[in-house]
Amino acid sequence: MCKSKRSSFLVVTLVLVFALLFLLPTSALAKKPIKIGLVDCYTGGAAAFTKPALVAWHMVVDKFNANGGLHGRKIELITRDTKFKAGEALSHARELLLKERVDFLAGTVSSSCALAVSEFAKKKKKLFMVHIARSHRITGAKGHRYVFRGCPSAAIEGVAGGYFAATKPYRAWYIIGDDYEYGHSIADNFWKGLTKFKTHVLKVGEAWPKLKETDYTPYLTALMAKRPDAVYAAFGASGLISFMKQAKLFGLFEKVPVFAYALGDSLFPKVLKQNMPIGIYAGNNYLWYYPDTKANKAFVAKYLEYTTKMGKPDPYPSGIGAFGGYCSALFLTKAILKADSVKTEKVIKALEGMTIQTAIGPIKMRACDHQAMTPAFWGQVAKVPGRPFPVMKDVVMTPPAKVIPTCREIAESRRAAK
Amino acid sequence: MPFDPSILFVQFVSGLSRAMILFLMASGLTLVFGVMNVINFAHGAFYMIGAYMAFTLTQYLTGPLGFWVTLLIAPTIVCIVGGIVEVTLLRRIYKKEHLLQILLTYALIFVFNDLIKIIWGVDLRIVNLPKSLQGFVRFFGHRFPVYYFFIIGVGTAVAILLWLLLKKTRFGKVLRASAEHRDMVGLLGYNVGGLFTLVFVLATWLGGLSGAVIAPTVRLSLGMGMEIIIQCFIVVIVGGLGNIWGALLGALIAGQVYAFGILILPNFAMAFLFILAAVIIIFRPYGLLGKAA
Repeated sequence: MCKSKRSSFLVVTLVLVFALLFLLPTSALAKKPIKIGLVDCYTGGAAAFTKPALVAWHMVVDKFNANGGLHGRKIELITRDTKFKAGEALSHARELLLKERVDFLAGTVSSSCALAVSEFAKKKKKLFMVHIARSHRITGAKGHRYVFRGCPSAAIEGVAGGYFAATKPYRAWYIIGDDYEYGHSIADNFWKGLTKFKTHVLKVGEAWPKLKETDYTPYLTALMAKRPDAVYAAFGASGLISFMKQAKLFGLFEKVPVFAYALGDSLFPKVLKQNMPIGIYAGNNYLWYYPDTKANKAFVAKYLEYTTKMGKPDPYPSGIGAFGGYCSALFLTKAILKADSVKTEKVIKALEGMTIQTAIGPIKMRACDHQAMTPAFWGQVAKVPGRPFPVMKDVVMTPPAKVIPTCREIAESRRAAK
Repeated sequence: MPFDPSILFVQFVSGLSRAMILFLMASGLTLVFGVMNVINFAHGAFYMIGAYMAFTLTQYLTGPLGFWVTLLIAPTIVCIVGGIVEVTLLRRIYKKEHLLQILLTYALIFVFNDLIKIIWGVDLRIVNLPKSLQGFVRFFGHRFPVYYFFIIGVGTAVAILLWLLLKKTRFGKVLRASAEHRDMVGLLGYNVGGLFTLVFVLATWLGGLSGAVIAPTVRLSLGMGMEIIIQCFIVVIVGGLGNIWGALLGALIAGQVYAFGILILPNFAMAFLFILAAVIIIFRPYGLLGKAA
């Protein structure tokens, strides 16, 4: 009697244990978060862009999670600070992948960090979504199957700048910029665009002060000595701010027209305030005031609402930071839903050729190079009545198809780089 | 394009303003090494604190005298911090080897960097020029901002005042004696410890002043101290450790080599400076105006 009771008790226990063993993991799996490892520089000048970009990522991810995620699985964003050093970016990416076991990698603001993480992602066959870095090499010569870019490439924006500058009557150019990957990329592409759309232009000089230069005085005087028709400024955020401040002191803008890549971003008038140079030409990938469409107004309102909820209301979303981060996050989350999976190969397939609807119209992720086909905006900085700080007037929006390198050119550059 | 000789003069002036910034920083550095035999890597941090202090103070003191009051207060706050650092930390390592000094002062850089990050955050900051110093001077058809002449003026004034302090005052005499023979000065009854504190306070005051003075021309960011400290070490080594005039000479050389280097071969401007420094050290190991220890 006792023996059979004990054995039946044993059987019931075993059944219960096995049932739990099978049920528990699946329910745990349903709650297991999708991890995205975001490596970026959150110290120094770059933080002015990476912080709004992170806010935009949260905005997109919160919506994804609120809509039920992927069959209940929610996205968890894990961030790491690279301090603008490629070595740090690499070690953080490694730690995120091996220790945190992230499903996707994302980042960075620095082009050299992006290239380093991209190589790593290629080796590990993990998807890496670039959201701010501009160097054309990221989706060009150094591009590959596992890297995507949801923000513009210098190959689009720089060439668009050249296209815009070609409509102006300037022949003798001086180029000055930060001596690193980004600076050279946006300058080379500008020159490529300018020489493509205008003949008889010449470079009377160029200068490449080091990245953390504080005193541009000798560069400014040397620049003005060459008496160029126009100047192209290829600086990163902090360099641009220092350079603009000092150039204004020297009256550079009254002497010669200046074309500054990225100065159209809402960050710069906010930081420079009365030092914001009026009359110079600036470009950017997104303007909160142009085009004045319902879609753009809705995006600005949504961003303001979200940032107010976070405690730091921002009525003027940064193109480089907030908009770039937003589009990249949107691409990735939409692809996860479309692929109905977080498996890298399936998400890659879903991303290729995907179009997202944004505040400035549809943006397509080109399949051949994994580069988002983004429009570029160039105009002239002016004090416009009704605007809280100087914005651009006579804005020209260049469609990406006009300036983006062809798939063939990309393929050739990748072959040459091997 | 015809060559414009006035460019040479303009480049010289810009080299001069750059030299004065370097001198303000280097003078503090060389003073500390000359008198106390301490290599103060953290000097760049005091420069950074001075700049950030200037930022905060100019936010609150917005009147016409605001900037000038800032120039008085900011270095004072910095030198108080310097005094605290000296009394609590540096005193313990004077008799120890240089390596320990380097470790300690280098660690201070990280500590201050993070402190500034905590207090001021990571955003870019800018300081505006005071209204009285806006505007520019015209010569030979070129414009040169008044503020840079102000910097040159401050540097010159500091050089003269330091010279007067060291040569003409009793305090200066004791300082110079301590640099030569610390123990003897102590034996003669002078409070060498207190003297060292004063010297360090003076040096950090100079560092804070250079930070506050340069702030309106640059953007403030974490790590700005590191950028300038390397050049300051070159200046101090080329000029001769412990020699104020050496620091001035070194700064002038550094400023002009860089300024004209940019005119001739911009990509090598920095390299010229380091090559020159290497050459000078080979032929005069104690610097141009330095003496054998």
